[in-house]
Amino acid sequence: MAQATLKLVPQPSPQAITEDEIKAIAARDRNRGFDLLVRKYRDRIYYHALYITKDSQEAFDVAQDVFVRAYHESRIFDEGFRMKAWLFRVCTNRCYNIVRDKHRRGGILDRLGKQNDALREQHRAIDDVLARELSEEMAAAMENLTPEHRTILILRYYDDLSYQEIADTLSIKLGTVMSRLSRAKARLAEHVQRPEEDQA
Amino acid sequence: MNCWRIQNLVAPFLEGELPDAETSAVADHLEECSDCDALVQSVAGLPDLVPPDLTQACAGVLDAFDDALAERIALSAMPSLDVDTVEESAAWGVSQPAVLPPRRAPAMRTWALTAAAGLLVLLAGWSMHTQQRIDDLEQSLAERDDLIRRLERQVIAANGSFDDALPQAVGAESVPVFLPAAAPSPQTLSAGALPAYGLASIDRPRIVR
Repeated sequence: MAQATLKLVPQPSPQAITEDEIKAIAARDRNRGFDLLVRKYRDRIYYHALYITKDSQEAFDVAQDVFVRAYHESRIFDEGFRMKAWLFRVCTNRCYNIVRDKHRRGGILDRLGKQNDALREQHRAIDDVLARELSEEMAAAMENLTPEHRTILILRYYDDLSYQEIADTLSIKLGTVMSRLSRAKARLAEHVQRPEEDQA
Repeated sequence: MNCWRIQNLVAPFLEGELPDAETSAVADHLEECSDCDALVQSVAGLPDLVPPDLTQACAGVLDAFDDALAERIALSAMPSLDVDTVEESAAWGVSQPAVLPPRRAPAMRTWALTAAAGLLVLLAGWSMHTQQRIDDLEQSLAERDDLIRRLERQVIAANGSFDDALPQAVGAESVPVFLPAAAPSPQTLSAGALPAYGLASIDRPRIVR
């Protein structure tokens, strides 16, 4: 009598799964699809928020906010919907609104009381690491750029988005992505080559 | 291909993101233009932009992410989330509470009730005023009828015949001025028809005494 052999099928890592595969799964089970969406993009969205806000707590809140919005976004699993660009777009916009809303949000955070001490300590540790990393030459030079130039450099070189994904994220044309990126790098080269002027 | 165009294509040119035709055009221009060539060289000489290495530092926070997110989603789905204003709700990006406290409703209700009460008072006043006018008119009609009957009796008693005596018995100043133009003159009325005419056909009880 033949015995059934156990076949172990390796599960793809969350990052390796494609958006189309997530959409196919979500068509059968939306919560499962959303779970895969979070696993695929969670780290990248959090890091993106961290690069812009330079504050782990803020970045954590923004990333949470982005996925809460994604959960309530009815089109998120629609065919042709660009999930990645949408997530980065919402995240970028929230990051730049965060300073304006900082006071108000702080008040809500205190009322909700969601942060425990251990997590707060971890956020502080991340801020320390980030501050060290951003003191490196290139990161420091980026701080002298306009938010527009800094954002497009972050999206391209930190988040590793394609030109088309950047265009979708920022709602600009492909040609504008090329020109803005070129101008940003030229400005960055000026700051790197003449750092003494920045310090002055 | 001019210098302005080159300045806008430096990055995609260096990263191989341009179509072949444009790449060739940029390369041709760089051979002829030292300024643009210097620009491209300065950008090409930049160290790579590498993201800060945060993987290890962020591991703990990211582990806590999913539970916190589940909590946030559950909160966002609750209609009575504890936020003070709709603006705060929007600032957090959560759904607006389905039931907002009716802050303006009491004021609206008070105004509506006051207006309704005022309308009722006005209606009651108008009704009383109209009733008073009706009473006055009825009293005036009764007085007019009494006067007519008295005059009739006097005329008939003095002359025996109403038709012959009326013009002499009733002075011009005592003729009711409210008689309509189309009404029959007293001369054409017979004695038998007069009471009916006096009671039924006159609607303006103004008596000139």
